[in-house]
Formats: sequence, C-alpha cells, structure tokens
Amino acid sequence: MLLKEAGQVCAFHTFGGIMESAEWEGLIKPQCKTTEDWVYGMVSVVNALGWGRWSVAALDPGQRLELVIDGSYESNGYLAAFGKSNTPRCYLGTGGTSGLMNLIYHAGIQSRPALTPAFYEKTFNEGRFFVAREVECRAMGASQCRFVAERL
Amino acid sequence: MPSRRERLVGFRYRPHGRVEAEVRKSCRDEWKILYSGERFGADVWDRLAALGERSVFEASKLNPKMKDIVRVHAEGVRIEGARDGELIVVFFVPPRGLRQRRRVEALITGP
Repeated sequence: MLLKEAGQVCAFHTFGGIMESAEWEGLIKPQCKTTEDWVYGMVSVVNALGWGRWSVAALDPGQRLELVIDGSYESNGYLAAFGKSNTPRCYLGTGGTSGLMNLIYHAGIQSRPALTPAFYEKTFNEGRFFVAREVECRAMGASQCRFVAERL
Repeated sequence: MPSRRERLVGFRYRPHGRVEAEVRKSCRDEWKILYSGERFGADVWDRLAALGERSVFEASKLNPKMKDIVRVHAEGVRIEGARDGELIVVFFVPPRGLRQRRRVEALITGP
C-alpha cells in the first residue's frame, strides 16, 4: 500500500506538473481535441522518461484504462535482484495508472489547479476516484506489465 | 512556521487588464508565478526579451500544430512559455529576481 501511495504521489506531482507546464501548453495541448487525447498525450510524454515503453491498450472514456508497460524498470529491477515473484511488483506503474485517470477524469487537471495537499486529497480520496491494480507483471513471468484503473 | 512564499501558494491577483497571476509551489528556492488569461503573442515575447537572453525552440517547424517554446533568462528571472500560448511561467529567484517582478509583469501585460 505504501509503495502504491508513493507511486500516486509521484504521478500527482510528475504528471500534474507536466500537464500544467509551459511545454505542455505549447507542444501537447494544441494537439489535444478530446479529454482522451490528454491520456494519450501524457502516455507519449512518459515514454521520454525512461520508465519503459508505455502504451494504452484500451480506454473507456471516464471509466476504465488498461495500460501496458513493456520493459518496466520496476519488474526489471525485481527480477535482477530477487528473481521471479509471486505477486505484481510495479508500484509506480500502478500509482501512475490511477494517477493519470484521476488527474484527467476525476480531478480536472485541465483547469490547471494548484498541486496542493488539498488537491491531492480531492484527486485520490474523494468521490468515485479511480483505483488501479497490476493484472500482469513481468516479475511474475508475463511478457509485459498490464494495469487496469477503474472507478471505485 | 511556513515561509511567506509557502503561505502565498495559491494566491491570485490581477497585475493588469485580463491577465491573472497565481503563486505556485516551486521545488527550488524561488517564486513560481503563472500568468494566464490572454494569448501571449510575439509582441509580448519581444518585450520580455529586452530583459535578458531569449532562446526559442521552433517546434512549429517539426509539427505545425505545436507552438514555439520561448525562454528568457535574465538576472534572477527565468521566463517560459509558448509563442501565442495562453500561459507564461516565471521563476523569480530572491532577492534580485523578486525586485524585477513588477517590471516583468508590466512587460507581460503591455502598455
């Protein structure tokens, strides 16, 4: 739980900060016609961060996101250090998946709110927020890591 | 006891006209203020360039849907935004940068 929470905090500040930046305003936002484009745009940007190759497997607008990470650094690290796992090990990926959906569909990052502790509470703990789980993990022997975020 | 900068996070004011400013949290020892409410065209960036050194990433040449990203570095101040964008982010490093705040805001809002 603590590691997933850390992943959410990371997503909140990293994704939130990116989506409120001057670079997003100039480079990505002009290409976003729909709310869904914000999800695809953010996932594209994540691919420049070196966290593995992220892609959207399925997106039900405002309801559900299925995200795949090829070469997740968390599974790589776990396999290298400990070998095969019997539980999923990608905590940042899990927090990132819920963070992405919560920021875009639940908390309204599009209106550029300040990334304060109060806004964090609204994003992850109020109303019908999104919760994510890792349903396939390379550390468990899968070929990729797969995450699903759905409303609580 | 939170610092004055921390206490002012979220504070909004109007420097002039339709432009709205909002103090934001910064990871560094600097003031981060967002300016929005208008489209900031080439004239605004030409005025701001008088403060220091301007650099431009001509993203529109790579993809016409993207806007050019402009940065101006001046003493104690870093200004970032897109040409014809609706957001300018300014980082003021105290104490020198903060002394330039009104001048920067006058250049953003124009005559």
